[in-house]
Amino acid sequence: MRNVRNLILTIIAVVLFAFFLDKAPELLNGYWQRILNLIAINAILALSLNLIYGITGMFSLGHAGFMAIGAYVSALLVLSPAQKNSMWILEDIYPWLLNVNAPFIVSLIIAGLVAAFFGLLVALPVLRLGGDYLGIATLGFAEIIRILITNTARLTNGSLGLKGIPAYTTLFMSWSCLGIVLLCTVCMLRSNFGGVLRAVRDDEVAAKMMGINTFKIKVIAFTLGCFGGGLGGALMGNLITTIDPRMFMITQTYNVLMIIVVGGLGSVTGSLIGSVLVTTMLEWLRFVENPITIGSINIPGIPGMRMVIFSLLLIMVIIFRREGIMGMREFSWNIFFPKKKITDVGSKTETVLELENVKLKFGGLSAIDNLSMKIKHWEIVGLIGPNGAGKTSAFNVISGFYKPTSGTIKFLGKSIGGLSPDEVCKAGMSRTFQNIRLFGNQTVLQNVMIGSRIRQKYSWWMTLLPFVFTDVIKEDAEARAQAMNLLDQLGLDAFADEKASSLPYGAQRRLEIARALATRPRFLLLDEPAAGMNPQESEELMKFIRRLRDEFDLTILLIEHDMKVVMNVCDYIHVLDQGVHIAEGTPAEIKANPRVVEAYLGAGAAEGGAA
Amino acid sequence: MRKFLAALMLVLMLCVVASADDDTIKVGVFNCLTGQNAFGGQLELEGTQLAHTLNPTILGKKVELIIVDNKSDKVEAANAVTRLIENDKVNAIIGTYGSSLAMAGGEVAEKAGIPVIGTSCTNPLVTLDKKFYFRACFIDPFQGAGAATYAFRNLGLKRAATLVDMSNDYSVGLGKFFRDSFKKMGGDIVASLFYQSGDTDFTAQLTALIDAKPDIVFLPAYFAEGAIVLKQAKELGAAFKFIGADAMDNPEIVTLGGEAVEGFMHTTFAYDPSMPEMNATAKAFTEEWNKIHPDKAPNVNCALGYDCYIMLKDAIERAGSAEPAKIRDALETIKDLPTVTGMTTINATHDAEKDMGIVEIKGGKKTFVGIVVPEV
Amino acid sequence: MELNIFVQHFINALSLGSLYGLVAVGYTMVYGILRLINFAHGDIFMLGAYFVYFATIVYKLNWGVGVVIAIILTTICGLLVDRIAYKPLREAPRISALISAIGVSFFIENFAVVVFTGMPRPVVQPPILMKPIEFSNGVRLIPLGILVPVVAFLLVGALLWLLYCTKPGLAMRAISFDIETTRMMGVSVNKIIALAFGLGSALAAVAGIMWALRYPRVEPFMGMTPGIKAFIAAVFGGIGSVPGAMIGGLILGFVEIMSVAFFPTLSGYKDAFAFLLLILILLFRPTGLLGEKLEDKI
Repeated sequence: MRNVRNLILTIIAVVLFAFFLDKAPELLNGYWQRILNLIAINAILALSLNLIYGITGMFSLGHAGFMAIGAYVSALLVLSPAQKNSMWILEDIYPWLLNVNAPFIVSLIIAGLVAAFFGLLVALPVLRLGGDYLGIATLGFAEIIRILITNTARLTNGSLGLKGIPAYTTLFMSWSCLGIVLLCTVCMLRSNFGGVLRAVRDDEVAAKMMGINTFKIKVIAFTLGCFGGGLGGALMGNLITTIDPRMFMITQTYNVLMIIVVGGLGSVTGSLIGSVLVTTMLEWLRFVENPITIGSINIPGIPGMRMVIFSLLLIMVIIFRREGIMGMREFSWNIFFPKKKITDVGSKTETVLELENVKLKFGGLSAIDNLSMKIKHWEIVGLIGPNGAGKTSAFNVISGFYKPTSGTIKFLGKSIGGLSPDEVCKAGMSRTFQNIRLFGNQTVLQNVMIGSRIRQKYSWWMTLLPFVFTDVIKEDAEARAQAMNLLDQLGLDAFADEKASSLPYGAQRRLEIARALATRPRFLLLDEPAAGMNPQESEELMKFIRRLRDEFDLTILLIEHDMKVVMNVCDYIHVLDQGVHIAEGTPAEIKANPRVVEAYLGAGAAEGGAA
Repeated sequence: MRKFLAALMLVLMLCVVASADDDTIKVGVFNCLTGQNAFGGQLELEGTQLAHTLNPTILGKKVELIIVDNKSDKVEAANAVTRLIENDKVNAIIGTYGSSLAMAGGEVAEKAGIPVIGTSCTNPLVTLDKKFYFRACFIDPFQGAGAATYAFRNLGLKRAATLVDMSNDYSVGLGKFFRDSFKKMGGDIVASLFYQSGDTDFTAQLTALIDAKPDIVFLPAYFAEGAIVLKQAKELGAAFKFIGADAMDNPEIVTLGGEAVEGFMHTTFAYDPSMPEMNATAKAFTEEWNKIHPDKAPNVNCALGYDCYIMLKDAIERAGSAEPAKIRDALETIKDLPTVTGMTTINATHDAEKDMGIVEIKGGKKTFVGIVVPEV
Repeated sequence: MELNIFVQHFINALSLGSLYGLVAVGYTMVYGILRLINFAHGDIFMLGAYFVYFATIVYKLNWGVGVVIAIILTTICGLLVDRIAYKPLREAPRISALISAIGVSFFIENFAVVVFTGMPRPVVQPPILMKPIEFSNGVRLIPLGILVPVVAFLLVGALLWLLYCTKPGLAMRAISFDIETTRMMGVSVNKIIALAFGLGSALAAVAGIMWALRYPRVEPFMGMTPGIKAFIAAVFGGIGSVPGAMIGGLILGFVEIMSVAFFPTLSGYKDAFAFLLLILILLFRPTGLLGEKLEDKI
């Protein structure tokens, strides 16, 4: 019901706005029309950079370069041969270029595609870099693009630039483009794929463990963002009607970056608000440069004052609203209506996991030395040992974060040694982390839904037009139902729409397990599930782990320091000490093993016998 | 936040109170008052303002100058011109330094049918296919040829090289026309090197030039960069001469370059405060300028800013009206109008045809050497 | 290419590279401790150059006195910037501080246009530094060309001493490692950060002054290109590493000069070469030449 209401409200708003735009040429003078145009273009640029940076978390300073590509491609396609002929006064234009021509709309699409293609070329090598290094590498590419445009005069007319580009960017054109971009972005972000993008931003490691090939996701998001950059650049060129390489310096990227940060990094609504605000503010502040008369006092106009005030306002906004105007929130019609609550699932071999002589070395340091073990189906197995014994390293090797230096790991009869975490996940294994790694900015439900992404069949590009590819809607609904079901089973259903980071500690632990279960694993690795729990909570946890095994038909390997938990819940126990496998057996055997006691006494944690 | 907004609204309302009546002629000025080209735009604005102070009325009507900044940025230039036309309803516009900015603004004015007179936007593309754009300056090909003619014919030098700012249309254009024209006359171009706007170290290019042994190097740079190039050339012991163009015409070049600019020549518009014989307009301009700005000498940017206003005044008076379309028609027929930079005639492509002067730095002073007639 | 021409190119490259290095060292100093890409570094650099201009040309002070005053004033400006625009954002996401830095950069540039106007101003070059030394094969060297690398290397040495042999240096390194733990150890983190910022600004001032000496002109936008170049140099070397920044600066200088020296017809592509090399280096060493490896903790 609520969705239908929101849809109707959205349609009404869009129709009203379209009506306004239709009448705008009569209502507004050219100056305001131009500003409205700029708002739409800035919003497209902001949305595309926000997709790259705000949503997927890749620090890119290269937007201006992709804008330049889009602007040039479109301009070269829409300029007439006669215009081209008269413009290349320094060098001769390439003859083939002279007659290349396309209608404006086609040129826009080609501009976006060419920019996206270059984006892909850039993304493949540099997206391996992280953080600021990615920023500087993308900045470098943008500069290279600009230098190439300056120097290839036969293609681009060099620093003379192009002029007389037909002013095809009308209000209708720019706002329809924005409408389409906005629709596609919102649809994509609302689909489970959008959740995946945010998951990559929030915690790449955890996303990998959800079976997500994070590199591929980043490449897709970057390329899509570049498409938007090219489109925005093309619209800009056809609005200003003249372009040259100096238009696309780093300051252009700063402008877009400013918009998305002021609006709220990661918020689509924020990008829209930011572009309205920054664009109008810059124009509106012009008055400070005009002579002002207040009463009898005459203040002469000071050139430059406008930017001084603008930059001060910018600093103030950032200091007092550091998350930007919207933060990560989005606009929703629901804010006008009182809130209501909503409330609504998922085989046998002998040996599931087999490690043989697995070694892991970091330089000269041996983290795991010759570890061999077999885990049978339906077993709950404990992995214990004093601090620094190599337990988490063993987990990381099994789940694909580290490549074993030597030895083999067989999972369900297949060798998985050296596979990446997402591949391991797809093979049917999932894990939790010692320090909880949730996608903190997303809701509990979204966190769990990301886990089901690996089972969804639709491709990412379908999410741009879910009304055409209804599979997206269908499968997402399924994923949602399954996720709700899981939450219900784990007693988290009441929290479904809360932000994951706002949950109490114990619930966060359970949520991490729920998320792991959403990938439908056959084998679950739990890294210190009882850490930070009081005795009563760990009591519940023990029951919970058994129930998990029974209800989800799982095999479980767990690391735990709380000996009470280990001794009660595990069918079988392996003990590590300084990377060496020193003992294995049933809880009773382990308790009686002198080597284990010795290892623990050394670490001063010998309450192993308490149970 | 609410208080802050209220304060802003108050300020806004105070600004809207600016009044307007029919008896004024509104002249918009869009120029780069901030940003990378601010040094040129500010000088031109001062020239225009001086002309306005001396001629506050045209046809008995008060002239109001409306000044907007284009931040040396294309998007801003287009916005600025739109604002002048749509919000301020100007009759004509003067501006700007920087050809790319002129092109961005020109498109808007063209559509609205408001005449614009460009100050020093010398790129041939500025007025190409434009009915409403004019300029007070000559264009790059003419000037490039002028420098080549002077170097080859007057100085008798046969081996030349160019050092060009690759990212500056002005520099690239002049360099190309210099090379073409120099070769056509029978000279040799021994090297052609590039740098990018914003560079400050030219030692690599200069060392490569020293290696190529030219007689003269054509340096179509802005004066601030040019002065640094000349300084570094001197440090490296370069033996060749340098010749530049009108963007080097600024009294500050001597303060910036010191001894290193001694003997440097450049083409420019036929005006310099050091000229022995000045026409009446130029004399009046120089005197009035010195009264207002006793601490700095005028240069061609100031003069061109001034000339634009004079051309506009002439056009409005001959048209007998401040209607934009009529001003346009009158601008097209400007012929032998005495301006600070010599006699101005507007040709078929809306460029000013005027004399080209040569200035040389002698004894730490800009000295007007004479007029050169380019072999185009 | 004849040997003497090559030697001349080499000298030019050393001089340019050490200047880049000098700017980059200040950049990396602030980054290493605050993890803040200080986009305003180039503008603080510009202020340093302007203060020298005012001291020596406008107020006609002795050159040495002018330099000292300029360094002090620039440091104060840097501290003010930190206090007003960065300190309130210490706990905020890094991007907020970055945007604040862009805001500061816009502010300083435009404030400079309003106050100093856009006109480029000259700078006094002490004649003793400018008298060329000519070698028999035609290679020329000005004393300033030696002074710049000497100052740069001395400063790098002093910084390394400060970072590795003094208590505040230890505190700085500790902060860059883990700010919360350092606070817990009873180090007054804010003071140390202010010290680092002041040092960074003083270094920017020295670089600005050296730059203005070498290329004797000051204007409001003079910091833009060196700022970006220094950023690249710092990344080349591994951002946060002081010797890395110096090496990065030298590499950048050599690439720029030598690409023109060996491919004069491609001199328009000079900056593209530098960026290409940067990206290649990053692909093989994702955290720069001397940058510490950042392991993602699982």
